[in-house]
Amino acid sequence: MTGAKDKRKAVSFFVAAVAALVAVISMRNFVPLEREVFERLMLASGETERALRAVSGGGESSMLASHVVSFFLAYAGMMAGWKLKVAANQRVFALLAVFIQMLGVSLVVNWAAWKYMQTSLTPVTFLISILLGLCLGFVIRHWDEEDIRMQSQFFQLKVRNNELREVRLQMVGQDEVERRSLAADLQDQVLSDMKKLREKIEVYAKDRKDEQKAEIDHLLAATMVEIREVMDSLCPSALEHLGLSAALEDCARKAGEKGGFKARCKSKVEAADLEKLSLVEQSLLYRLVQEALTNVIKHAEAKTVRVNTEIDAEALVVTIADDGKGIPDGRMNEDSRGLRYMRQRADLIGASIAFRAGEGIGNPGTIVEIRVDLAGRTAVESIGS
Amino acid sequence: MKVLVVEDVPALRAHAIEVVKKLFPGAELAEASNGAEGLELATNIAPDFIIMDVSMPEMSGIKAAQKIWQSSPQRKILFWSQYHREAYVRELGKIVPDEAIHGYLLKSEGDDKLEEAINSVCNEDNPYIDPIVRGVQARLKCKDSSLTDVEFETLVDIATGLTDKAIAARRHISVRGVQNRLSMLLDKLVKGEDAHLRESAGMEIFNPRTRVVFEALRRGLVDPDEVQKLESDLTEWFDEEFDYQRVAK
Repeated sequence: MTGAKDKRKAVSFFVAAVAALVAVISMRNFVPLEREVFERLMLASGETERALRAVSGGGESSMLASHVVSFFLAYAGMMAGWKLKVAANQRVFALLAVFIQMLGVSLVVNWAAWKYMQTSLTPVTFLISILLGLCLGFVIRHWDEEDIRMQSQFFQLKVRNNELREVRLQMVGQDEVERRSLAADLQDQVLSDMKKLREKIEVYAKDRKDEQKAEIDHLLAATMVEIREVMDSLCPSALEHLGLSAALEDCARKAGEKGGFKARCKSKVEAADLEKLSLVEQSLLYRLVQEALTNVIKHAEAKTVRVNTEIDAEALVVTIADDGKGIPDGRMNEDSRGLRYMRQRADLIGASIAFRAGEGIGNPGTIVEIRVDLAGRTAVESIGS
Repeated sequence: MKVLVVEDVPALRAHAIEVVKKLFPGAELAEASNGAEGLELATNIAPDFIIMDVSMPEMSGIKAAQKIWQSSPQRKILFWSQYHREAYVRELGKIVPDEAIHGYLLKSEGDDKLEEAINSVCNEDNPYIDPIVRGVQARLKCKDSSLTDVEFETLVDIATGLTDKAIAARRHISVRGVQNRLSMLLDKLVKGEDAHLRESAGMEIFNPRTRVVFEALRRGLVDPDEVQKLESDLTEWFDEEFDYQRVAK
């Protein structure tokens, strides 16, 4: 970026020189008129006509000095226009003030040149140089601001991008953990059953007893159920076939069977309201509830868990309330994998999650509230309908 | 007799058709490979009985059944599913119309069960819910072999005093299914006595429900020691289904 800036400075320097030159050359035609204005000014300020006549012949020799001065004035004007930092509504006045100041400087220079070097410079040329310089500076400043803005946007984007990448990485990490637990499930349940089956079949091939056959049959059925369960944790079929309400109920019951608590579900939501969420959003919501229930199984030691689904102020609210031991010390480890997982998933569907202590006496319990704003959403055509 | 088989896996579809052919040799058979196709055929040919897979492309079996029942609520449908979760049976129990007879059978079951289910739904008008589907009320086993498990379950429901609607909700079947179960039980326990008596007396003599319970008591079909358990099962069901906690008496 600095290279570009240096280059721009050089370019603007050159442009200022050209602008001054153009101003001077274009004003040459007005030199007689200008000189007259100048002489009148000088006479008015008390100079004698003789003193004026003494330098009137040196018109040609004043050209170089005029060039040099107008160039510097243009450059100074440009710098002033560029560096001037004022609010937009005051910009005109500020520029006017700068212009008047510079005009004053130019008049002093003019007068000094006439007085001590006996050359008369051209004030109108200076005027135009200053104006051009100011305009140019203003334009450069505008470029500069644009540039800074783009730079800051660029950095903001970069920061945001990094954040996103981190979140993605974390999510992939979580998926990895899930995949590992899935592989462990397959290993523990299905594979070991398969091994047992093979042994049983080998024995049956030798003895051919009916009870062995029945055993094999039983084991096969159990393995099928296990495979189905693993599949179900991969992709909850109930969500696809029965809809969110029934799937959440099923999820709660499943958690209840696993965690040894009673699951009670209530849904006061019309199917039309649930259809405002796409299938992907529904399955993310399902995962959120599932994770909350997993937490109940792991930590709460609850006897009853209530999963309520309702509409409150145009938002879909799912509350998972248990009667377990509650949040220890009223504080939660915000950095835990499960909570981060929940927050990120909630973020994806624009949901908010709140954890709070329940109102139970003795065992306070925990209430998890997931809130998805439905306002402005219209029904999404769900798959399979 | 017209039978429609809706199933997306060709091998399974062929298998189901074979079983149906064996049971009903003269049946007119139609087949569809997804829910949408099944729905169209069901409206066009008005089959007496439908075997419906649950998970299919285009339209799931449940959605298709829902639509079929919307236009013809008396249609008999046997769901042939690979999902053992109770949620399926519950949801089907919610959408089945009062007039319909339906069944739910897991695909992992053998041919004998498939035949039994078809027979039950089709011929006996008796809803068939696969006993393996977990959670559907811990199955009550009748010690006396004169009653089947389903009949015993119905007997218990009558004895505990549930209405048809309540039984339908508890067992996830239609009201007509409940009534059919009741009359089957009545046939078995009271037989034709009721009808003959009514003819002679010229009026209704027995209240059939009470008579059934009495008959069960007389024959010792209900173990008095288990009555307390039946009541606590009922309490558990109230809590689970309606979130209603009973005050212990």
